[in-house]
Amino acid sequence: MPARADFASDARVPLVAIEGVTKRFGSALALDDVSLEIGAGEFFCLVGPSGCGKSTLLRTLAGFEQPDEGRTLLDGRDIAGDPPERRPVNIMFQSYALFPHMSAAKNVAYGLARAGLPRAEIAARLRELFALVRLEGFEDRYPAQLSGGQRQRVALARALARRPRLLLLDEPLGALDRRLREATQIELKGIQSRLGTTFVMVTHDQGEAMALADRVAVLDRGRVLEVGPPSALYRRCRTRAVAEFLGDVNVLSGVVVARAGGRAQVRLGESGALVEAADPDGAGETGSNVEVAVRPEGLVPGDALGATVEVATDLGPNALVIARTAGGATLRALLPAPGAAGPPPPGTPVGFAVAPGAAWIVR
Amino acid sequence: MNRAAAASRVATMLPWAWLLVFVAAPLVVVAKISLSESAVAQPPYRPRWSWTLDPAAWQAFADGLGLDSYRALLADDLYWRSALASLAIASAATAILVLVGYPVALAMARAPKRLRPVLLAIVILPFWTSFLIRVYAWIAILRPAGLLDAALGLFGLPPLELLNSTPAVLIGIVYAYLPFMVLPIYAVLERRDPALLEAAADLGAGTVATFRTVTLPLSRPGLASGVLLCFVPIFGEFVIPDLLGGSDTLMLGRTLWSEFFGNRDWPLASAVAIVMLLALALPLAWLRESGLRRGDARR
Ligand SMILES: Nc1ncnc2c1ncn2[C@@H]1O[C@H](COP(=O)(O)OP(=O)(O)O)[C@@H](O)[C@H]1O
Ligand SMILES: [Mg+2]
Repeated sequence: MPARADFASDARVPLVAIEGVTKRFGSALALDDVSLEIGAGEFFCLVGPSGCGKSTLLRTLAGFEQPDEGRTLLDGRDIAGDPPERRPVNIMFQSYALFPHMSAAKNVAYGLARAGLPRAEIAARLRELFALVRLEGFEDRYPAQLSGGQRQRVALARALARRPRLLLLDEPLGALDRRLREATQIELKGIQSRLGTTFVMVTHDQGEAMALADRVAVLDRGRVLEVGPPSALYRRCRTRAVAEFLGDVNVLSGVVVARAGGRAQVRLGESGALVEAADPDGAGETGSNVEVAVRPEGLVPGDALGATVEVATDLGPNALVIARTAGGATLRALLPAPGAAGPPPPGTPVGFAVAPGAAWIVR
Repeated sequence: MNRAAAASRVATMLPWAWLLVFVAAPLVVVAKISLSESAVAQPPYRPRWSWTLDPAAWQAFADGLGLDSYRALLADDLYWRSALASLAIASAATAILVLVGYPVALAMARAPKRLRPVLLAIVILPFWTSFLIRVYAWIAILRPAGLLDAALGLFGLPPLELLNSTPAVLIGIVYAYLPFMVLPIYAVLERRDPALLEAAADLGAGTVATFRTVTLPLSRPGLASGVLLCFVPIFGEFVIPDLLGGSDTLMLGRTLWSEFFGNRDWPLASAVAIVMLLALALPLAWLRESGLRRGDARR
């Protein structure tokens, strides 16, 4: 599979181009100069804290909101004037919005009937769709007679029925309990890659974005903070805000003492230890004060950072140790399983080092 | 049985007690009168029921009852004709009420949230003046050389002189019952999930298709309540046909009134009332039953 991160450098037009879109509700700024490009066949995730404008962006693509400024292009064509019913785009609502007075089959067939498909073809597509979401046998149930997970599948089948160019999903798994959500994530990913449909999915759960997305856009207060493949963003994001949103992270301050080819030697302020940190876009000039980010799993036993254990939790495969340095900074480290003796008790002195390649400079 | 359980038992029995005293008991009295015969007496029928333990008196009472009034009802086509006329007027008025009331309710439900209480108040406002005064106002509007004809005259149109005609009755009924049609429909439309309309649009439905496939079916319970709340009382309506209708406007309520007060034939009037009640209640009970049976798959 070609890396999707670099599709923008391809000559081909992205499926969706959002250019400088701004949306206000009264004086509130829901979207602030958002620009994004999404390639055909991509699984794209919008993540960000509640109220950051994720749903508004989806609704703009679906045609329910008109941007105050900027353009939305589909296949290079401005779709600003197209009403929702004429966009080759479908949305799966956060609340599912199933028609309560129609059976599951009638719900799924709704968009096909509106398109005027012949009965036989609708019946054939219904069979395919119910098989796709593994709901055979539930065709005649009404939404009120289905479980949450089954309703979620009906909503997905209904949104896929018209074979949209672009499928928008607003927190599609948000209403499911955790185990069902994890199982459904795998299925959703499978359906997406089988159909090759472009998915834009909203989630406030960064783990879900990590698990599903080809690329992720992190939003905050209506602005796009960063876009990229989740593994890259998780380990090499530019800003501290994104690092913190995407998971637990230790942020240590220090001074750059040397640089070479996208890497910097940083002398940590507190311990004076030298740490090598990635610096892909040259944020830290020699002699400047910088912040270095390290994920908990990037800290290993060593002697660069001395601390005492505050809490240590045995997670089974590994142990989460929360420790405090002499300078008062809190460190979170994910260490190998502690063995039968259990995790170290509070007050135990511990030493950490940074695993090679685990640290990077954030702004 | 503890005290709380006893209290809750009493509380659940209260509505039944209320129905027994204010609905069932009067009905039994009316049914009894309908089986009596008319008499020059006070009250004007016999036999009279007396509270006694004497079986002979009971026998005499039972012998005095009969179906004469019902036979008279069948024999005289006046009753049939007024029943049919009531049915026609009630159906026509209810149909007009649906056609007028549904768009009003829809417009209210689609109005901006802060405007809705104002619109609701405007619909309810007429209830704050007496019903009779409002019907009298219509007399002033509809009578020959009244406000309506004067307004038509301004445009050089001939006067309609609607008062004392069946159209005047329809106008009055539609005016008086409009809130009873608008409010139940508005109540369901207002509660509907706006995401359903967006889902319909997203799946390719235009305005008309969305209305036909989503809005209308989902508002059916409100529509049914509105139709019931209007049709049933209009069927027995007396005041509006009496004040706005002509001598040829037959309605069952009016016939009943004239039997009762004009002819002082209480048994016949009671028979009319009982037949009217059965004619309304039995189809409704059947509709409700079949509606419930169809509906329970969805709940
Ligand atoms: N219809 C609306 N009217 C007014 N404000 C709105 C409306 N929709 C969204 N907003 C506001 O816009 C911001 C973004 O909302 P939303 O896109 O729903 O956030 P998210 O989906 O990321 O939680 C929020 O501050 C929200 O209050
Ligand atoms: Mg949202």
